[in-house]
This record gives sequence, structure tokens and C-alpha cells, in this order.
Amino acid sequence: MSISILSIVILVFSFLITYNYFVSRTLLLKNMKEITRNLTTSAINKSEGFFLGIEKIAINSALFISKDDYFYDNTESILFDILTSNSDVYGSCIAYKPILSNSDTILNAPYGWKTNSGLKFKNLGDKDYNFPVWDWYTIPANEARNVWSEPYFDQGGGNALMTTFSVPSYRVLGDTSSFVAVLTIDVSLKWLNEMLSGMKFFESGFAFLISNQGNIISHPDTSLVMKRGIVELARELNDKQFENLAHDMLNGKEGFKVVDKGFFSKKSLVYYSPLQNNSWSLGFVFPQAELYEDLTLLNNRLIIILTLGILLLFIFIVFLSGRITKPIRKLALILSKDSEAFITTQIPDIGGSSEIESLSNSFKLLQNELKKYISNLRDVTATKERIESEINIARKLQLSMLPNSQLIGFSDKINIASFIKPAREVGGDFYDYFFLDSSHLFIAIGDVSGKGVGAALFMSSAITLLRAYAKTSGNDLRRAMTLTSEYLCNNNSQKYFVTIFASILNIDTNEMVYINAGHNYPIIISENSNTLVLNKTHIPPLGIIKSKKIIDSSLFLNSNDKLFLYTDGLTEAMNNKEELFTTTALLELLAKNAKSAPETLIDIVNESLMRFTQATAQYDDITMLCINTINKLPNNTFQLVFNNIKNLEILNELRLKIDEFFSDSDTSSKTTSRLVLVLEELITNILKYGSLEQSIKQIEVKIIDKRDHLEVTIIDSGKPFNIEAAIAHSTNNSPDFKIIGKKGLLLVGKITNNLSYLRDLGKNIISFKITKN
Amino acid sequence: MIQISITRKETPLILKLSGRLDALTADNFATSIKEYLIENDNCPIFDVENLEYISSAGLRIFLLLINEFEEVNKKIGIISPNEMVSEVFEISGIKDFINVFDSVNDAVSFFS
Repeated sequence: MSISILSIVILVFSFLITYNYFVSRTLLLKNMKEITRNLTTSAINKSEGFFLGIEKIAINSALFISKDDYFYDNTESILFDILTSNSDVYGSCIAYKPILSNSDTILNAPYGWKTNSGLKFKNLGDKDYNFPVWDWYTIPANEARNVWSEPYFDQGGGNALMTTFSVPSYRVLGDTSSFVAVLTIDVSLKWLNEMLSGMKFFESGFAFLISNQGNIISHPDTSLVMKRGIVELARELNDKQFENLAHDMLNGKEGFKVVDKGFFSKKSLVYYSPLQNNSWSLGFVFPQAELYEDLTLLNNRLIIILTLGILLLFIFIVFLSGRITKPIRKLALILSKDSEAFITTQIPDIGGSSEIESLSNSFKLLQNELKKYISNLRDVTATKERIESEINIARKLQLSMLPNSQLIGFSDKINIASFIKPAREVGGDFYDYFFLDSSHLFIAIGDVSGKGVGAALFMSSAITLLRAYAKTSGNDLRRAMTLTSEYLCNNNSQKYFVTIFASILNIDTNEMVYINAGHNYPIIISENSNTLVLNKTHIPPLGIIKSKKIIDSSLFLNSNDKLFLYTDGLTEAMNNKEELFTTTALLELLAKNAKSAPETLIDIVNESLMRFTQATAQYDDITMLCINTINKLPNNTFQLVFNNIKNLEILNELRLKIDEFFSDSDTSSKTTSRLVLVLEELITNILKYGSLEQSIKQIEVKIIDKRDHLEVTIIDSGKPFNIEAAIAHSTNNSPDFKIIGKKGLLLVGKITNNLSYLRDLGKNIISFKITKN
Repeated sequence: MIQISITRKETPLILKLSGRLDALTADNFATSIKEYLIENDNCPIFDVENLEYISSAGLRIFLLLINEFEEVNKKIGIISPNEMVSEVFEISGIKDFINVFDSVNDAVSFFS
């Protein structure tokens, strides 16, 4: 933060300094120009005054020459006057117009000059010098005008830079004037040089003067004077700006120019202006650095002061922000530690403003709360872990209560597969199977209301009771269920209840006795893909209402029939669209895979269920139990069981199965016709007389094909009917054709041998023989 | 499955039976027979050459017919029963109350 504040301050100051510098520079330049112009003007005025003074002397003197009385005789006194009139006048000459006499030309040019020992005079009119050809004579003489000569060094005359002013003189006669002589005055430029070199500006500023031909007349560097021309110099230095300056000066212009280098050696400002008398040009040079020296100095001082100020400000800011943020940084340091260290670090009392103090207090509060929270969390976690481990043990225990799920070859005659998947760690579902004796298999599946630990405990109670009572009830399923129901009802404070389907399967006869206590209807799948739902509920679920008088049902399974038991977790499993798996889907699936082995069938159902539910969480325990009767009948034995017989259509099925069985046997069609006749008569009789429960009636037909006869057994669950006695009655009494009924029994009696009837376990068992012929 | 067809309309009326006459078909057979007999109250002759099987349910229909025609002193005729059908008639003791013929011609000539 201090950095950003400083940056802004520096930025503002930099802007101010720069602005100040440029504005001051502009102002300074403006002032400087003004001053320079004044200086120049004064120098020019002085110079012009000097030249003008000489010009006046010359012009006045010229007037004298034109007077008669001054002609020739007074020449010397004129020169004397001129020479003494001005200290800067070095010499003067009056060059008379040459007089032509005969073929000779008489040249007369008296000349006077100053020496250390006084004035001296001589005549320049000798043939050797021949003054009438020199410029100082020809220009005034021929062009009738005054002229300043180019400056020159006069070796003899004081070793000084000189210039000569020439004026023509005329004699006026009436209104005509005739040229008489040219008067010249040699002037030393020493004074001018002294004046100009006396003009100093700043450290190394100076003035210089050039003639109208570009020769340097005055310059602090005397080596340049009268030796170099300014244009030539400019070209030599190859400086365009300098060349422009030179041209401007030569053309008599006035102005300001900035020159980068040139003979000024540093970047300089030059002000230049011409002299009126002789078109010479005066230049003033100001080295820019010196011009702006004060400004730069000021600026530098300003920068130093500001830098110091900023430094001071920086220190102050750092100090101030340090004072403000120190407590916060202390807190931050504590907070930046890992949670463990944060908890254990004592938060020191931090001074500072009240806000910071309250922040610190808040942190202390937070730390305390956190300590409490963590301590609580530890306890809770420990408890949770303990409970979890206990539940895990419970789960293992619960699963170990169930019989081994994939027990293949449990018996030669039976094949069992099971599947259980609790929705939570422990569940309320169970299944059970075990042999009561060598031929009776006890099968059960159950579902306790609710889920979780309570349900699991109730389940373990239910399975244990059922198992114990089943083993001690002498194959009496009704007794086992009654006792279980009673016990569960008496010890059920939480009013749990359990649906149970329990069954005792005789694996020799395939007879299945079962009781359904409010459980899902089991499904029987025949080899030819027929499915039969055992849609009978005998009693309500166990646990609430004691069922005192329980009725059971029974049926015969065909060889290779499969009994499929499941809990509602399967059919009521939901997918993410909240659709149920449904019993219909299950029935279709089972019918389609009717030939699969139990374990395969369970896998198929499970797979299909997974596909259906996808990732949707399982809501209820899922349990499946599948039992396959694999009665391998001897080749000569035929067995067929009809369940849930509704009409006489079974006769057709029976006849077709018998035809199939005897198709490659040596048994004659006459014998099979007799067999079919007897079976029809007996089954018709059973259905007519023995029907108690019209819809669920089982008839088992078993035929053993012996060498010279067929041994037939028919077992039905109808009410007792002593067919043996009935037949004996119909055959022993002489047949009266007028009695229309009983002819069937008569036929049976005549065709069969050794017919016997037995009533056992609530079944009518008829057995007989048919002799082959 | 039992099929009935009339092979001779004039006296004696001949009905040809084919298929099985058992508990499943007996009721239909009884109904059909009644219709034929209302049209023609002659005592019918049954050509059972193609009747494969008869059980007591079918026998019952014949017994009813026998009883009915006995009142008018007429016997129903049976032509060419197979072994199975013969045996059933034999065992049930109704053979004495019917005329059994070997062929249709025998039956026709017997009545004429």
C-alpha cells in the first residue's frame, strides 16, 4: 500500500517538475530573447554610432576639399583635422582625380597617419601604387557613392584590424558639379572589437561580427578573425543549421536560431542582426546549457527537495502502516499456521485501535469455539467409528446367519442360488434353506418392515425363531409358523413386523407345502417358459397379529421347475425417473431366461436391475432366492404335475406328453390308449368329486414303464375320495346299462390291475398297473 | 376334437364320426347329435371307423341314445369300431344294446 501511495506522489511531483521546467524554460527563453534583442540593439546602436561618426567626419571633410581654397594647399591641414578628430581614426587620404598633362598622368594622393611619434604624411600618388585602380577609389569615383571597405589588417598601421571609409568629393560650379577627389578615412576596428569582446553573456556567451562578404571581423577566437569566411566554415563543419544561419546573416536578416554544434561547440541560441552602415551582421551566441543553467539548477534542487520529501513520506507511511498493520500481521501469522498450531497458539493481547482489538477478541472467541468444536468432533468421530465398527461386525454377523449363498450341489436333487444386498450396512431382509431330513428342504424368505439396526435385530430374531421352530416341528410348517408368529408378537415393543414366505419341499416327490405371511408372491418358472405366480396369502405378516389357525397350501413342482423368491426391494427398485422395476418386468425376464441355472438367473435379474436403476441409490434391501428341482427321472419314468388346474384342458396336455414319452417305446398304441382312458376317467373323477379349491389343485401323474406292464401313480390334493372302494362297487355289482354314471370307474376297474388307494398328508394317492398287450 | 358328418340322409340315417370322443368333446357331440335327431327321428347308425378314442364321457352320450330309442324298441347301430372303441363298448356292457356292423353295406341291408 505504501508503495502505491508513493508511486502516485512521485508521479504527481514528476509531472509538476516537468511542467514547471518547461513553463519556466519558455518564459526564460522569452525573457532571454528580449534581453538579447536589447543587448544587440544597444551594440548595434553603438557600432552604428561609431561608423556614423566616421562617416560624418569624412563627408564634412569632403566638403572642404571641394572648396577652392582648400584645394591642394590645405590638404595637409584637412588630414590633420581628420586624424585628430577621432582617436579611432588611424589614417586619412585625399586621392585627387589624376590630372592628364601631355602623355603623363599626374597622381596626387596625400596621406596622413598616426604613429607613436606623432602624425606623419606622405603621398601615395606614385606610379607603383597607382591608386586609381583600387576599389576604395574607383567605387566612390565612378559610382558616386560612399563605401566601407572590407576590413583588413594593416601591418604598418598599429597592427590592427582596419576598415576604410571612402567618400567622393565634388566641386560645384553653378548647377554642375565635377568630381574632384576621393577622401578616405582608415578606422581601427580595435574599439569595436573591444566593445564586442567586452560583451559577455553567462559563462561562455559571446558576440561576433561578420562583414557583408562573410569574413569574420570580430570573434573571441582571434585565430578566426579575417582568416575564415562564415559560409566556408559552415560547409566545413557540414552543419545545415549553421549554414542557414550564415545565409540569413549574409542576407542582412534578423532573428533567433538554435544551432546544435558549429563553431560554438555546444548547443546554442544565436541572435543576429545587420548593421545599417555597411551591411555587416552582428551575432550573439548563448550556450543553451548556460542559458538554462539556473533553471536546471533550480530544477535539480527541486528534484532533490522532492526526493527527500518523498523519502520522508515513505518512511512515515511505512511507519504508520506498520503501526496500523502490525497487530493484524501478528494475527495473520497465527492464522497462517495449520489448524493444530492455531488452536494451541495463545493469541497475545494486541494493542492498536479499538477495531483491531475487537478483531483480536473475535479471534480469541473463535479459537475457543474451535477448541470446543474439535473436542466435540473428536468425541463424535470416536463414537461414530465405534458404532461403524460395531455395525460392520453386525453386518458380517448378519450375513453369516444366512446359508452359504452360492452352494452349488447342495443336493443332487436341488440347486439353490441366493442374493442379498442390504440398502444400508445391515438390513431387514433374510432368506434361509436347510434340510429338515434327507428329503425335506426348508425354504424361507423374509422382509422386516423398515431398515437399519432395528430391522436387522428383528430379522435375526425372526430367522432364528423360524429356523428353530422349523427344526423342532416335525416337518409341520403350520406349527413352525404359528410358534414363530406367537413369539414375535409377544416380544415386539417397537411393533416391527416381518413378511415371510416359508415352504417345505419334498425333493423326492417335488411336493411343496407353503405358507405366505404377507410376502411377495413367489414365481414358479417351468422349463417351457411358463411362469406361475403363487398368488396366495395365508396370513398377515408376523409380529403384530397372532395367527392361531394357519392353513397351508401345497403343489407339485415339475422336474426342472424353478422357484423364484424375492423381496419387494427388487420389484420396487426405482430409477432416477422414479419408475419401479415392477413384477411384470421381472416375470418377462424370468420367462425369457427360463432355462438358465439359478445362479445365472439371479445374475441376469441383478444385471437387468442395475441397468434399470443406473446410479440411483438403493432404497430398500434386495434379496433373491432361486431353487431348481433337478429330479433326474429314470428313463422309464414319466412324471407330470399340474398346478392350479382350471379345466379339463390338462387332458390334452397329458395325452400329448404321454404320446411323446411312449413314442419310441415298444408299448403298443392299444396300451397307451388304455392308459389315456384310465387317466382321463380318474382325473375327470378327481375334478368332479374331489375339488375343494377349484383354482389351486395339484395333480401329479407318475408312470413307470415296466417290461410287461405300466405302473401308474396319481396323487391329488382333492378331498378324500376312496376310488378303490368306488371301483370295487361298480365292478362287483352286475352292470346295469340303465345307470348312466359310474361307467368311467367301471372302465378303470376293468382295465387296471392292483389298483389301490391311499390317503396320506392330505393327498389321495391312487396307484395301479396296466398290463401291456 | 370330434367331427360329425352325414353320409346317408334317408333311412337308415348314417352319421360318420371321426376324432376323439372324450370328456373334452362329449358335450359338443351331445348337442350336435340332438340337432341331427330332431331333423330326423330315425334311429341313427354311427359309422365309427375313424373314431380313435372314446371314454366314459362319450359312452354316456351313447347310453342316453340307447335309453331313448329303447323306449321305441329300436337299437342304434355302430359300424366298424376300432379295437379301443370295441373294448370300451365291451367292458361297459353296452355292446348287447347296440347293433355292430362290419361295413356300411351290412348296416344298410340290415335295416332294409
